[in-house]
Amino acid sequence: MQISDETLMALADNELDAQTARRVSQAVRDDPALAARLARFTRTRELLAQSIRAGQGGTQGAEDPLAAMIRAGITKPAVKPAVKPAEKPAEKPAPANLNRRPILAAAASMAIAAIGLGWWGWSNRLPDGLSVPELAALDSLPSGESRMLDAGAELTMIASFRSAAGALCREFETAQAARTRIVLACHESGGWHERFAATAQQDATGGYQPASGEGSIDDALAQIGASAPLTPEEEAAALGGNPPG
Amino acid sequence: MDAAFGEALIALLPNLRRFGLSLARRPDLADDLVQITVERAIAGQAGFDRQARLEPWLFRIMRNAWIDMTRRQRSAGTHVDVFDIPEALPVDPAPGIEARLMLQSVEAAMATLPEEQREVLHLVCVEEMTYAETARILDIPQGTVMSRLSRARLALAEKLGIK
Repeated sequence: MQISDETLMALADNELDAQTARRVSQAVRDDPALAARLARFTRTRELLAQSIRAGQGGTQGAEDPLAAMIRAGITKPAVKPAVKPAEKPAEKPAPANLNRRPILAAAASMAIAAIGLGWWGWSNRLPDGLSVPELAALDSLPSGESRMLDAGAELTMIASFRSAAGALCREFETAQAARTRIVLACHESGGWHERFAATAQQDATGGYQPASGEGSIDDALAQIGASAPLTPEEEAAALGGNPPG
Repeated sequence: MDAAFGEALIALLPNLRRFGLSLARRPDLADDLVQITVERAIAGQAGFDRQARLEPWLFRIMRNAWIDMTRRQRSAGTHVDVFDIPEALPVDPAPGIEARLMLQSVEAAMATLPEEQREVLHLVCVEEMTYAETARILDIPQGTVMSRLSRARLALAEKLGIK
């Protein structure tokens, strides 16, 4: 009887239904060559499980510091810091809409202040928030590449997407001194329009504190129904078909 | 957040760190991945079906976080592979030198496999996910899980000298 490698593997992994498992086990007992093939699957599983668990799982003498953070989240759900974007409720409005809701909690106004601060250092800004060098980068800079803007800022193109409506959308970051601005812009009705922007500030320890969260770029991408990132080829084709402006 | 969810999350931190290390192969990035996963899990716990197992749900969050991270880091920094710097590997004095040697050869053999094979290997053989769970975590058909896993195991057996 012909037994495939995948069937033998499924036997080793306990994934066969009882009847097939009995049938295959019987065949293995009758055929040493088959038993040797099966052993490659059982042995690799044993070795992986033993060595990797022993090497990495057994090292946790002290409790993970994250455990305390998680427990703190259990006991104090009401006083979430504003800088934890991932803990904001999913129905949170896009940052662009925050200013239409003047009576939000302190958390939200802190986020607005942070975004305002983000605008501050960027000159040459057009009404919708994108500067001329940023527009130029949106038109031509491939994802994964960086370019210097004026005043020591560095722009890195992150990725391109298609929105659910088919518009080309691009995510980029601009870093200047200790501040990083993350932006999602879509090319619609003949020009680039900012769909999301947030800034993150480097703190004293060198870590980044999202001011209004980088986490919410995910919400913004979900809102436009973003596709998976375009491949370099797809992106090049999309940029080629997008005249500047 | 309810306490049971939190404690279940805490109990799975070592599993998350292992999977993070298997994806990122750098301890600092693995730590970041664990933290992001925990934050997203807490934020998204309403979307978790309490009847389901927590591990596959968490692994899926982590894998998506990893995709985000690699997307962002395509241009940033040099990649230091954990297997090139032995001191970056977790220290485990208890089981003795032989276990460490075995760990290193298994890890080294695993490191030569393509990422898509490494992740199925880790999820099934180390984290004991079923084929169906692995397929859902990775968003691929179960047949693809099986073919990748089988190729990965045969390659690993070969490298480790299992006849």
